Amino acid sequence: MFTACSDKKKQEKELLNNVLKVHDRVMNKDEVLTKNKMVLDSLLKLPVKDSAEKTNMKAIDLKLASAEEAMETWMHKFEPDITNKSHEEIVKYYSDQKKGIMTVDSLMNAAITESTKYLSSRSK
Amino acid sequence: MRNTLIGLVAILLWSACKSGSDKQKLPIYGNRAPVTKMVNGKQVTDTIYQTIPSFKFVNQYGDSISNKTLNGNIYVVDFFFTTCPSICPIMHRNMLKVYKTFKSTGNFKIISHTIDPKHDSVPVLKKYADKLGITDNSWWFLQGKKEDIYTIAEKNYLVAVKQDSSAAGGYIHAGYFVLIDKQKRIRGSYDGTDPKQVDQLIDDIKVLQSEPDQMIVQ
Repeated sequence: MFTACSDKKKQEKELLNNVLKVHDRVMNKDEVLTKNKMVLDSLLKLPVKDSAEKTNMKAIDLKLASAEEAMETWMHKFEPDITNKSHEEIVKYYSDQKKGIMTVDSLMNAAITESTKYLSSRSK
Repeated sequence: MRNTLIGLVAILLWSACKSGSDKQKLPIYGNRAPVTKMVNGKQVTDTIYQTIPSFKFVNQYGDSISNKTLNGNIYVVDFFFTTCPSICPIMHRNMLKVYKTFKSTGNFKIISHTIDPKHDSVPVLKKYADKLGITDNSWWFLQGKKEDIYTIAEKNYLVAVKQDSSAAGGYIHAGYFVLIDKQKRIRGSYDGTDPKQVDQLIDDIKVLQSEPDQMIVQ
């Protein structure tokens, strides 16, 4: 009985740690994302003659903003307090949260890759 | 044999003294540049160290806090956000020890910058401070534009971390505590999640407090 209980607690802790690990990784990416967004925003303030170029810049900027917003929404909604929840509910909650933060991670990766590629092509 | 022993003891004593004197002086991080000036008709070369530039943020009481507000203070800086579920609660549990050690000594502040200013408004920061039991002016939780926070972090406060670390990027959410002296120079960075490093920070603040006041940047 006791072992079963501690096994359940161990599983919950591992699931939570998994979520937090991805969260911390994503937060570190936020630094690059913010930096790229700042550069792009300053470039968008300058006159851009080529309208296709401007549309592309705006699209990348929007991707950066959406990824940032997805990250913020996730972290504001995440509730580490699991008091009064059953083991099954906790497992489901953390598993869902893991999926959520993984989606944010992909969004950020895509936005960072695209913006970094664009900005380095401009600096050449 | 006897001579070898004497030599060994001498080396041991010398290294003990050496590490003792090193402990009393903290390094100065960041860029530095030599300047030559005339003092009493003599040419003197001095070193200008990187200092924290001007900034303006708002604290948990809604008061405007600038670099000038911190003039004459030794201060510790960190970066956090109130909904952070992972490292921030550990960091601030450790920071409470720093706060309790120095809150009554004067000329000392802790400033915690939120990196989630959209959510962490002044009332949210006040609530967070209250929960930690902070009701005085020794520990400020600051809100400002995200761009400004990231810029001052990257170009100034986390310079020491970058100098010491081989890891690329991702320092703002890595739990660092940064120590700034009264001349606004960067004197140390510590892992805020590690109680041993936080104890080292406490020792280093004491070292800074015993440093003679040189020319204080205004």
